[in-house]
Amino acid sequence: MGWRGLRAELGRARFPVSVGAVLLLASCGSSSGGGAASSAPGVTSNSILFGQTAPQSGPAAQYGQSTSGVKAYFAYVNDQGGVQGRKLQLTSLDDQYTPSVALQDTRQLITQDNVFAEVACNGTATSKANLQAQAPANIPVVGVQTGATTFAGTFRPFLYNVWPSYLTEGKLLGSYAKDTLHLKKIGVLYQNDDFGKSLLAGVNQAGVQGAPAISYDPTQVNFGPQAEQFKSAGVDGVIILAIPQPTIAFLNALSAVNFFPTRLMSQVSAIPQSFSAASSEFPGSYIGAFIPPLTELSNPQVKTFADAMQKYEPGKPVSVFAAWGWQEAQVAVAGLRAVQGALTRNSYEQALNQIQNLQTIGGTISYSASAHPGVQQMFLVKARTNDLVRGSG
Amino acid sequence: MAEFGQLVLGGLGFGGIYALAALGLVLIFKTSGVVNFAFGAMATVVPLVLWTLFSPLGLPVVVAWLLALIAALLLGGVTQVLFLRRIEDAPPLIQIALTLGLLLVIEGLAGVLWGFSPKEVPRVVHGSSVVLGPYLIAPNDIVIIAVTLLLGAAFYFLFERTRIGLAMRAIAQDSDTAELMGIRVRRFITASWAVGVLVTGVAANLVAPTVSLSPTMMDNIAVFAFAAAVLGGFGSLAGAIVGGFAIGVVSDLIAGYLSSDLQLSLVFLLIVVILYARPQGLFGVAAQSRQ
Repeated sequence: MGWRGLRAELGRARFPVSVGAVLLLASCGSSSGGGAASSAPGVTSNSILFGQTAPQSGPAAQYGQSTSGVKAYFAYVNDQGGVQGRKLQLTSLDDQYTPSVALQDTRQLITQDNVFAEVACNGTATSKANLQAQAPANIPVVGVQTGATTFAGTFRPFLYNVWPSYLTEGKLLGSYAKDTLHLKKIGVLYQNDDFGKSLLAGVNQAGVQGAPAISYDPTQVNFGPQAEQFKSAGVDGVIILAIPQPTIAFLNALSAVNFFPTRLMSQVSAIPQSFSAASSEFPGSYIGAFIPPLTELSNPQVKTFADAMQKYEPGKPVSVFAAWGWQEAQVAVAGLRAVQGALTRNSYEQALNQIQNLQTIGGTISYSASAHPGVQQMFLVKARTNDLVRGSG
Repeated sequence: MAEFGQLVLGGLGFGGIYALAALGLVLIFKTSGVVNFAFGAMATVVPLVLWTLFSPLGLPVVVAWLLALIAALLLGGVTQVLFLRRIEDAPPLIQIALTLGLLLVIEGLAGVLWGFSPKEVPRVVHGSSVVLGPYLIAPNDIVIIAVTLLLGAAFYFLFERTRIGLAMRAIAQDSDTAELMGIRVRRFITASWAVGVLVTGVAANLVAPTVSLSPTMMDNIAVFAFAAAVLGGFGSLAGAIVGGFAIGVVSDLIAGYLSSDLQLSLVFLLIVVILYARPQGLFGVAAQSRQ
């Protein structure tokens, strides 16, 4: 990277990521033209500002790739004239996967940046912390990147789930291990927080109790003891409910003790780097999914996403994480398009409540005034040497 | 129930990493009197350079390793000259605060330059784990343990049996008097920073292939390495090595028989107990008498 690139990156790291920042500056204070009149925060006659918190650094930094997915979809919509003449913009702040930082970021988005709504906020513990600022402000939140029961199992008028519940994913992993793969003794490695425990609850509901079920700390790097525990227990399968870096370290730890049980893992575990960073253990693993394999370019949703990423976010990974952001942006924009009359947070929420059978890259979304569930369907993909394929591949 | 012997062997592998990192920390402390809290972040730069040279630039792994180690020497030396030398007469608290600032700056810059996505660093050795009776040990762990013992022995020899070591011990005891005796104190301190980062960088290079490389990779390891240095008496090279292996084994046993959530707290509880009984650490007295 040259100095120009470094300066650009430094600028990106230090200041909020903005799409069309010049447009925003130009439109500040303006109230004429474009769509219907609005007095909502973050809305001008020709722009709508969304906010996002996601980790761009720290142990879960890969999830920050969802920002480029949101930006790509917004740019794709803006290229088609925006929504009712308004261009979509995004301010994304780095929460470092740390709840206290996420809350601070969310307060800034709401009180200083005056965003209209939030989209694609990442993480379980971080999203839980964000609620402390989002609930009093009653700001629409479209998509929290978690399926924890704190969100997927709890109705909040302002919060619209997009992800499937971790219970759904846990049940899928557990039942596939037990009933399809016919594994006799299944161990579970889970992150010791709401994220890991929600998935674990789903695995338990499928009749897999974990023999043993071992927790880990997300900052942990040495997984030798866990690998040895599973080996000593004689499990023939391990369900991994972990974020990417611990997953890679754990897979390598299994290799170190020459132990190769059948591996199943949550969709949040699987990253492209896993193919090379855990080259002997990652291939052959079964992974929960609601985003289709991104090699399925015959799927129009996947094709549109991949093309838009190349066009609007060149150089950024065309990853599942980016697809998360793309999908949540799809829902956010569908709500905007359905607004009747002036755009306010209230009218936006009413419009979101009307969404029925919205086809997104990650499945179908339907809301009502009393239920905001995410997608209901999940499936399994299998890692091969260099890619993922559906089912048992 | 996990096998005791296997946990001990695994603990020795990671303990070697803690020991090497602690050794780098102690090397710097012995001559400059500064506890370098940025040691983990500085060490992480070394495998990031290694990855850049090996992966995008395609250099042979041996060349990439050598150049990465040269980068470690430069990083340590330049950091000392640019930042620490400026405040060499300031109270220790100010110098420690500076290293804390460096930790954040280096980690942030590394994130900007390399990103936070995990990166693959080449292993020093490949192949299946080696069978030792009923137990297995990964080839990487064997290399880590061997390198740790070799470097530990080399630095022990350097400090105890050479004029350079004598000069460094003189600086550690009284830098003003050492200066009056004709020892170029500043050069030695700069060199100790360069070598300290080099040693910690070796640890980072060796562990990166198994835990996936990112700018925050050493955060957790640095905490255990710091504990190892404290346990060993902080001024003692042998203490750092023994402390590192001890922390590695004990923390693996805690994770294997109790819970990994208790690793850090029980390790520090153990240190509190040991320091209560021996405030100078395991090797503190011996270190003082040598000085």
